[in-house]
Amino acid sequence: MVTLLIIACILLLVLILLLAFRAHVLIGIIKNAYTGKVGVANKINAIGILIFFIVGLIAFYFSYQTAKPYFLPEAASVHGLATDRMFWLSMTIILIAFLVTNVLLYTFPYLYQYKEGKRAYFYPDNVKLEMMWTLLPAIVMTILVWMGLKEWNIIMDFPPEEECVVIEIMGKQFGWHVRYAGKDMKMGKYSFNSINNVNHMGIDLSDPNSMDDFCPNEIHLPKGKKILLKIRSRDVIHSVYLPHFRVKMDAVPGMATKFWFIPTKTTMEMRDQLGKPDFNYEMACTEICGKSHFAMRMVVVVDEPEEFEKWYAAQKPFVEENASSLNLPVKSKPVEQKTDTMSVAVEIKDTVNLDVLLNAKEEKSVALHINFAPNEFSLSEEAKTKVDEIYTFMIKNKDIKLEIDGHTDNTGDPKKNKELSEKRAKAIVDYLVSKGVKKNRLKAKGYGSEKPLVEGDSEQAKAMNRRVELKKIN
Amino acid sequence: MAVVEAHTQHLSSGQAHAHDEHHDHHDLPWIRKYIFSEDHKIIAKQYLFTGIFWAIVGGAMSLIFRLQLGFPEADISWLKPLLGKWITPEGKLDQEFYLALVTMHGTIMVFFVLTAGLSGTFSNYLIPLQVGARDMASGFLNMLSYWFFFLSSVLMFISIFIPTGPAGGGWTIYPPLSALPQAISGSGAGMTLWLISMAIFIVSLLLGGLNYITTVINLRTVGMTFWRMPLTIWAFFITAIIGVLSFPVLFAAALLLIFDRSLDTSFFLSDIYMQGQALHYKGGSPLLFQHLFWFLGHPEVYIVLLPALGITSEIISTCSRKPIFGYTAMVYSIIGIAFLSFIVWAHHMFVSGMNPFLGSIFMILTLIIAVPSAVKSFNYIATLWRGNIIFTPAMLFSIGLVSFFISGGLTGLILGNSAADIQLHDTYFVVAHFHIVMGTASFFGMLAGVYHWFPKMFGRMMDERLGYIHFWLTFIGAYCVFFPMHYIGIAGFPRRYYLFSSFDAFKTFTELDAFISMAAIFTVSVQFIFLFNFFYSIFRGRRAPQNPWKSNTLEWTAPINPGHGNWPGEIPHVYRWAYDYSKPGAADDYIPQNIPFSQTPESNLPHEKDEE
Amino acid sequence: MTTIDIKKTALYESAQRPVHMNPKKFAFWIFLVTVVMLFASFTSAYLVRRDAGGWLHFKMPAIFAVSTFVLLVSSAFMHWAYISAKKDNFGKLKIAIAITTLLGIAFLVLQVMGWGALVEQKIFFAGKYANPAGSFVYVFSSIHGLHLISGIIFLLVVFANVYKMKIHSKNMLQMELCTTYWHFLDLLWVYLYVFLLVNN
Repeated sequence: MVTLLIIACILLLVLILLLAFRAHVLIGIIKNAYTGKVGVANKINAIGILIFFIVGLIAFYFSYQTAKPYFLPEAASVHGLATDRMFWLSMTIILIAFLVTNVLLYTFPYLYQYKEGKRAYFYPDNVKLEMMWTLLPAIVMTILVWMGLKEWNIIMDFPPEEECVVIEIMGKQFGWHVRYAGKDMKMGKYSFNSINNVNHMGIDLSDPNSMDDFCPNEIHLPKGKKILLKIRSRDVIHSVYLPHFRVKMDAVPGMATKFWFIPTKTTMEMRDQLGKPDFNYEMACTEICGKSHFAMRMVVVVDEPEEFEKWYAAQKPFVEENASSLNLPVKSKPVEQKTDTMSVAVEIKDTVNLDVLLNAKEEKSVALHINFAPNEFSLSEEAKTKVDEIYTFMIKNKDIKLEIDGHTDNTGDPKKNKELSEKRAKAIVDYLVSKGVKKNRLKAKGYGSEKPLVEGDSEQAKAMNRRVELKKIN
Repeated sequence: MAVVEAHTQHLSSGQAHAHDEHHDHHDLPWIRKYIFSEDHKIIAKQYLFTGIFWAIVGGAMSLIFRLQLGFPEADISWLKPLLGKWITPEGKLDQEFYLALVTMHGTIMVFFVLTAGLSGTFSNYLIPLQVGARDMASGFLNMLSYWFFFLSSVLMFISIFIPTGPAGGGWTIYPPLSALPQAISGSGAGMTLWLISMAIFIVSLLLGGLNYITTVINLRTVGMTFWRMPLTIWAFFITAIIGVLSFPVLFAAALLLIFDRSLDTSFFLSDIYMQGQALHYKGGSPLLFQHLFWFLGHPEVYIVLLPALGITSEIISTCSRKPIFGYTAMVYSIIGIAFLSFIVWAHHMFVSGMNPFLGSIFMILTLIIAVPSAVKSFNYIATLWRGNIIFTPAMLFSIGLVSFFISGGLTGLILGNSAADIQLHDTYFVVAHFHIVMGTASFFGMLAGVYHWFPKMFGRMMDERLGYIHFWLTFIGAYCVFFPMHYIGIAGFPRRYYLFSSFDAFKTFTELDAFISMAAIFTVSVQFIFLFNFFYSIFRGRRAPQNPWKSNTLEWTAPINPGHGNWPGEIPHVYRWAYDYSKPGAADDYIPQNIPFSQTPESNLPHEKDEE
Repeated sequence: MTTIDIKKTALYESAQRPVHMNPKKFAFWIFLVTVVMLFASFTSAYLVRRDAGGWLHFKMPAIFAVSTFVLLVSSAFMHWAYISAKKDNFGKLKIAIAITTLLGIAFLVLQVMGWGALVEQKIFFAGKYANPAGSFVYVFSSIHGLHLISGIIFLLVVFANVYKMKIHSKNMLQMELCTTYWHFLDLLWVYLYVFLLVNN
């Protein structure tokens, strides 16, 4: 109803404008306005140009003052301070050029507007003038180039690796993985062929240097020290962007890139300076990489060097964190590992290829591990991301029907487990329906602990058994 | 005497040859007169109408993604009738489709509107009329050039509606994103159509360019030496040369990309792990694509800009009633810009991972190109000095072009500096820069050209008052849209982001984004004033006089509605350059090119007295 | 035309016609420039990629030398056709064009056999075992081959026009264009072949 009203109003407005136009044309004919002589409109336009310039300058000034507080804070890196200085100096130079040229551009039309009987000044060229205003920009350009080259050479002059804290950053759709070299300060090699759902970065586990490498969830940097970023990607081109540090370098699949810098302000110092107790440095992606290009965020923390050392020492190596999931022989280290009847390490995949369901016979199922809080059946944000994969799959394959089976481990009351698992399966179904999947394509079932995948009481086995299975049905 | 005969025969053979071909065109069937026409004027109009169509489509796309950027919380389910499944059940724009819109907006505006629509229209229309030829060197190839463009348009248009969506990897289509359908849905059939469409588009452009170059070199009328050609012709001519040299490189890049996509080669792809699978590609280099792409990509922006600059030279000079200041310098600037445009491409790749040494080289070369551009701006301003200026809508748009050229060109100096570019690359600072210096400047050039040559094209006048309103609202609106983007860029906001709220650093400027979106909606809406004026005046505009702008160039000596062969009798001979405006001593404040010096003894300069 | 002053005629005539060439022929040369640019991009891409490492070095199969030779011989026959046309020697002209066409086809067949030889050497265009070094050879030869097919089509059109008596010493434009194109394609292949030999 409202839409119809709006459309009617627009049509009415258009009609009025058309009639006004027709009236203007007819009046013009009656007043014999089309004599080809230059009229009042010329004066109006001339003064309009001048007014536009003055108003524009004022708007420019005020908009800049309004926007300034929201620019990035002062650069938090050594080279960043230098490039920022150079940037503002260049902006000042071009502002001067802007003002000089625009003052002329906007006043000349006003000053030299058409006057009956006047003749323009026949002035086809002036070689000296041309030389001058070719030379002047050339000189200014040379200065800018010289400034820029100086900074560029400093930035691109990489210090030896031994002097740096080396961090490997790998981009993927849609997030980052980072790796530090660990206690031996040597980064292990990586191999594209070693990438799997646990070893996201393809760390070469046969390289002894990899054994103490660790992969934290946020980047930590020591203030005042040289940081070397070794950057790569495992799928499409991404780009590592640390706005506060003025750091940017593309992450290219198949080719390693690098960037180095020195942070100058800790996170705490920034929080103080900005008066924002929950401020954090961030890393973003800045090369179009697909659907969630805008959401590839990782927190970056700058510590005092002592804090950084503490943090560094406290990190657990990647291989230890994921020992059970990786096909690694367990080393004879004094590690408190429960021995269990399952001696084969099994992978817990965090992403699964659902397409195997497409041509599979019935009863073929795929297991997903979706985390629920204990005794809860509502979907967390992380869980929703995983269920989104089911959603995408169902949208892509419009005919497929799925049964969602909830399974729990063998802890606790079997009856309660069955109820819980049914509620969890139903929560998933409800979520999918709310996103638009037709209800008749989904079925929810709960099996509790009746159908374990893996026998045994080990943590490993229990983790494997806590799952949701998708089964294709007719 | 024999010498004369031989010479006249040689002269006339060129003219008569062309004329003979046109003899049997009087009785052409309607389809060969208006559809598959070989007349450059009809073909120009075909390009113009197609260009206008694409401008509407490209503009509409920008409004949709600006809605997302300006009002990210809004429920836009009311767009469902138009966009169907690309609006999610929650009433939001689909994230991959957002990228597809951004991609198609860029492709459409750069290639279909500002290359084909601008060059295609004005080069075709003006070259024969301004150099004094009956038509282009090959009407047949010219006709093919338009219809290839049409075919390419159809394919590109279809790609917008396919289920997996149009290409979504940015108008720069870097692989691997553009090579792998599993990376983004637009890289499926949408990308395939994009590549085929562009391949055909390139063929169309090359056919056109062939004609423009050949006609300018071979078919000028008697007396039309190179140094008497109007600056429009110089601009179109040099632009065509740039195109002929650079577009085949995009063709090569597209071909290799097609091989990677469809035939499992590894020119650009290597070490890719996607959706749980390690792909087999080995040994490819994504940077190779970037080099090949930008080798065209950079000259392309000058292909977009130079014709607009040429049009502006003509209009500013005519409407100021003054010769263009520094004609020779203007010509050398065009040639300088064209030459330099080939050796600066990697300034788009400063942080791509390429060798930093290359970065230094390309920075130096890039900043050199600022010099001829600056010279051109100064010359425009000097032309205004002590002129007697008439503000036709075309003149207003031309002045607007100079303003945008200066504003946008200056920020290029910052971006060309590789050290400064580290922070600014792929941010809204770049978006502001190229929209101002290339988008609005060339757009204004195109509009100026339409307003100025409308009387010649259609024999009628456009309404001036609507023209003034159109200019002022667009000028203000365009600055309101793109100027604030500088601030957003300085604040570090990245390009091609669907949402900014994922990052604390980018949670500011929400009101400014909304303002930009509203300004964009306003500015695009204003264009309907132009569309109304344009189409209304074709049918019901005031009939145009022979030379409404009192211009010197040859096209105004042709009949008001020129037919085949442009001039019914002999083609005029040219005796002077195109810029004898307000010559001291002359009877009128303009002397057309075809007036011999013998007829203007009162205003001839000393060196011209020999030619009387 | 009767009001032209002699002095002006000579002056302006040489001024406007810096190129005393038929416009269509001139346009054709510009087309050849675009083809040159296309292959220049391919050869540049080859060099840039080669410098990035991971490059497989191998020997070009000998059969490509044979095909190159065949194409050169075909150019000789093309030249003979041109001379015959200029002399209005239609019998020889038809034979010459026919032989040129057949040799062109032979060239293409030999190129395809060359691909077979590459495959036997385990040099593939695409797939898991391909290396860019090999892929480029296929790209050069196939895109050149496509242009050569267009050259053959041009030859056939000319052949038909000879029968229609449209090609003779007073109407040489199409013959000139065809001849130029054929020689161009020949030289282009020689450049590509030598490039591959030298840079592999």
